[in-house]
Amino acid sequence: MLSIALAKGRLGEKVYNMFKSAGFGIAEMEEGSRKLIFEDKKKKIRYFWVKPSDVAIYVERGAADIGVAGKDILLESQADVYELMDMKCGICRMSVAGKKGFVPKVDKTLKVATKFSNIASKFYASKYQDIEIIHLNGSIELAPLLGLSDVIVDIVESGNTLRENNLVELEVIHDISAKLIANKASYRFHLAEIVNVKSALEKQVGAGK
Amino acid sequence: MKKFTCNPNIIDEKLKIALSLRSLYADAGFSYYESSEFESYDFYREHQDFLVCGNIITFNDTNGALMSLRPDMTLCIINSPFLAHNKQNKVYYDGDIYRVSSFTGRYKCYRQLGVECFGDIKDKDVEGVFNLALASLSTLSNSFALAFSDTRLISKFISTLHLSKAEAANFIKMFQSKNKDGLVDMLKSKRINYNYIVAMRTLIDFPSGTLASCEKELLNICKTMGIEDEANCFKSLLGWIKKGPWAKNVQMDFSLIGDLNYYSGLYFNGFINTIGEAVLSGGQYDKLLEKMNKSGKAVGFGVNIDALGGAIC
Repeated sequence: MLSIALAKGRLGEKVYNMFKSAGFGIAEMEEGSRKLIFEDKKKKIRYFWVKPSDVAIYVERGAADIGVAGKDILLESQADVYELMDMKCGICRMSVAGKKGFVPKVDKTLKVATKFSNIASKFYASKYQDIEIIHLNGSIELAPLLGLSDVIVDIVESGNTLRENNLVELEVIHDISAKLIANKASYRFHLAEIVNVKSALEKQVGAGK
Repeated sequence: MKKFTCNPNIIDEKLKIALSLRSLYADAGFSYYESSEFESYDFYREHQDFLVCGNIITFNDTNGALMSLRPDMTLCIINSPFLAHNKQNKVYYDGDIYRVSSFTGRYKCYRQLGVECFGDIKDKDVEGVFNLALASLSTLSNSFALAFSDTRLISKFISTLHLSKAEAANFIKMFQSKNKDGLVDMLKSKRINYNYIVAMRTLIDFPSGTLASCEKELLNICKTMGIEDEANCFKSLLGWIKKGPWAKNVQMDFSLIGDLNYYSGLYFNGFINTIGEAVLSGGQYDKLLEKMNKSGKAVGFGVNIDALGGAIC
C-alpha cells in the first residue's frame, strides 16, 4: 500500500487530478467527503489530505511514502526527502520585494519581514549581508507599507498583490513549483511502486495536464 | 564469579535488541569498549565536520575545563590511548550520545550501538564489517535493506566535472535528494559535456535495477567519464557484496554521500521496513584517521536503537 500525502486546497486538488489521470484516482475522494484518509485496496494506494506546509513532514517521517509539496516548503523546512520530479504546477517564485525606489542604507541593518525565515536567512547569508528577520505569518505585504520592515521575502505569482500595494519585485531568490517527494526509507521498499507512479505522472506533465 | 539472574518480563524491547546485537558482535570477535560520556570540548570542536550535527552540549567541569557530552562514539574510540593503531582493533560499543534531533531541532539523548574496526586492517575486514551490518539488520527484521555507495567514486565524479567548491556542495546536495531536474539544470548552465550529464542522470536514478545491472551501468558511466581505475577498485568491492548471503537486500545508491573529508570508500545506510528513517549508518573512514594523525584504516557502523523501539517486525 503506497501512502500519498497531498496538500489541502487548490493546488492539492490539481495534483490529485494529475494522479487520477495517471490511473491512481479513488472515486470516494471526488464525493465531497470531509474524510482525510482515502484508501483503495485494489490499487494499493492511500491518500491523506494535509496542511500544505505539513506535507514534507509527513513524508520525511515516513507517515506518507510520497507526497507533493511546494519547493518553498522544501527550502524552508529543509526536509530530508528525495525530490523526484517537478510537477510543473503551482509555478511562482520566491522573491525580495519592497517599495518602489527602495535603496538599502549601508549604515542600517536591513529589516526583512517574511514567513520564510530560513530561506531569507540563507539568501542574505550567501550575500554576506547581515539582516534582521521579522517573522510574520500572513499579509506580509503590509510590513514595508507600515514601516515594520524595509523589504519582504515572499512568494510572487502574477505580481498583482505587490502592484496593488505599490510594491515591486526587487530580486528573485528561487523559482518555485510543486515537487513529487519521497521518504528515503520508503524508497528502499516501495521502489517499483514509486517509479511506476513517477513515470505515469511524467507522462501527465509531458502532456501538459 | 556470581551469576546474576533476572525476570525476563522486565526486559523491554530496546534492551532485547541491544543484547541481541551485542551477542552478534561478540560472537564475531569484537570486544566491548566502554568510554566516558564526557570528553574535552576542544576535541570535538576540532572534528566538528565529522559530527552528524555541529551542536555540542558543553559544561564546565569542577576544575574549570570546558567539557562536552559525547555527540559521537567513533571519535572517542579512535582517539583512545588504549587502542594502538599499528595493530588490528575490533571493538563494539553501546552508549548514549547527545545530539540535536533533525526533526525537533532540540537536543536529544540517543542510544547508539555499533562496531569499529581500525588500525592494521585489510579489505577482508571491510567486507566483514559490511556483512556484520547486514547481519545486524537481519537480526532486527525479515524486511530490511542496505543501500551503499563509494566515496572515492563520488569524489572522482565531482573532480571530473571541474566544479568549484560551492558548485560541488550544491551538486552533492542535489544528488543526496535525487533532484535530477536541479542537477541537470546546474550542469547544463556550466556547459558540462552532454555525455557526462547523461551519465549523472543515470547515476542519480540508482538503484534502477539489480546489483548486476547497476554494476554494468556504473562501469559504462565510469568509462564515459574516463575514470576506469576507480571503477576497477569498486568492482572488487561489488564482487563480494554480490556473493554475500543477503545480496538481494543490498542496493547500490549514489545519493548516499557521506562527508567526503572523512569517508574514503564504502558508505552505507541500513533500513527496516515500517521505520521511516535509516536505522544504521557507517562506512570506511580512513581520512578521519589521517586528520587525527593516526595510521591505518578504519571502518565501522552505528545502529540507532531509539529509532527501532517497538517497530521491529
